[in-house]
Amino acid sequence: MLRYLSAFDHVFGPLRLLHYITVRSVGAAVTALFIGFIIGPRLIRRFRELKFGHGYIDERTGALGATYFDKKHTPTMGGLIIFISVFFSAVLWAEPNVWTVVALFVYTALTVPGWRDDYLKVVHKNKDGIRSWEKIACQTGATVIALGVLLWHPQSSARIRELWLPFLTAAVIPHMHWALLLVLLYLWVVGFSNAINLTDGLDGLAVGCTITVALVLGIMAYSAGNYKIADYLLISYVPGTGELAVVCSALIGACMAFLWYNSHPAEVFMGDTGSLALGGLIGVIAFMIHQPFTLVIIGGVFVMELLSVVFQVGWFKWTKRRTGTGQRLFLMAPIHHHFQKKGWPETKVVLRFWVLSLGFGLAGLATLKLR
Amino acid sequence: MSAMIKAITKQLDASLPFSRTTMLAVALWAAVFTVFIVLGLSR
Repeated sequence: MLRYLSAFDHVFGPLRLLHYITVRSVGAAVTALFIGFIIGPRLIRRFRELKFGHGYIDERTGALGATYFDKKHTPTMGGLIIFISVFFSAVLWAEPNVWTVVALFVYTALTVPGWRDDYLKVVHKNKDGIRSWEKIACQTGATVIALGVLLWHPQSSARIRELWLPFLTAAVIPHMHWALLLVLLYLWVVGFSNAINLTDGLDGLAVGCTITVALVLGIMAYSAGNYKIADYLLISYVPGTGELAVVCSALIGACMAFLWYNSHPAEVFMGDTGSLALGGLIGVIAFMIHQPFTLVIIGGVFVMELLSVVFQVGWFKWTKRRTGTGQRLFLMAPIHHHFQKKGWPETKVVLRFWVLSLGFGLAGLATLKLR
Repeated sequence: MSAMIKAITKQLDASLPFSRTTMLAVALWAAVFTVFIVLGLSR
């Protein structure tokens, strides 16, 4: 919303800087970082109280603080730290338009079931959390409303029906049927929600990979919203989506702040509050900038984690049916546990997966030029 | 009047599942988001 102040540059010259997406992106990242650092310790203390009761003191910590934390004693719901940081930073720095509204709406709508799931498990000690139908209902509702708004609003309705693929210079389907759009958006939102949920199994893994994905998506959103760059790169030009680069920058800043507390040994986990919502956010952003299949490349680590579970379960069931004895493809799924079982320390798995995520991100960026 | 307000506030504090700070934070968030949505979707 600070963008509106650029209209008063005749009163105070430097306000014209707020017109530029790049300036506001940096502002959003820094603001989200600060908000995360300010609210982080307070919320972690609150989450600890919710988990263990008021006045809980972990006797093992002493002067060395988090060194002695273990996963059983680590509070969850840290996704709320990321949500508050992203939300207020994005609202402050991004210009309100249909794209940013839909992105924040989907993010909010998926934070709610995630938070409720964590709350039931932590506070009410209900190990099942929310029922499956509630989760599916929320995800479906969020997708339907998001798509409804995108199809209704004049700024988005014309372009949202196009389907673009990486490496191609034109839409493969210029006008998709709304049912196909719904299925695609649903698959992407729910698919990446679950993928990040599965990835969130080691300290700093999910949030670290989300930073690289958000960085690349931010660059792509800026390119998609800039006519000259989109024309030069032969990618889809979608007016107004440049503001999603500000949302992505807010996400980067928030994730950086969260990583400060989530790095090994973690003081807080993001829980379903974070993982479900982050997956939905990156899924819907990729969809809106016409790069849904590029997200499969950029978010390669998340896809790898999801597929490792799918293949592990599928292979086990298939071999059991055929031979009577189920066999495993991996030592354990998701795949980060496979490497732990092979003897890799947790931090090595996390850092190597971050390297992989960067590699996938660069590969995704390369698709902008290899067309 | 102030005694009535105090009594209502005390009853609300006892019946609501969240603290006043949480409720205020959620109300602030809802107000900000509403303004953002209205500005963003206005044609």
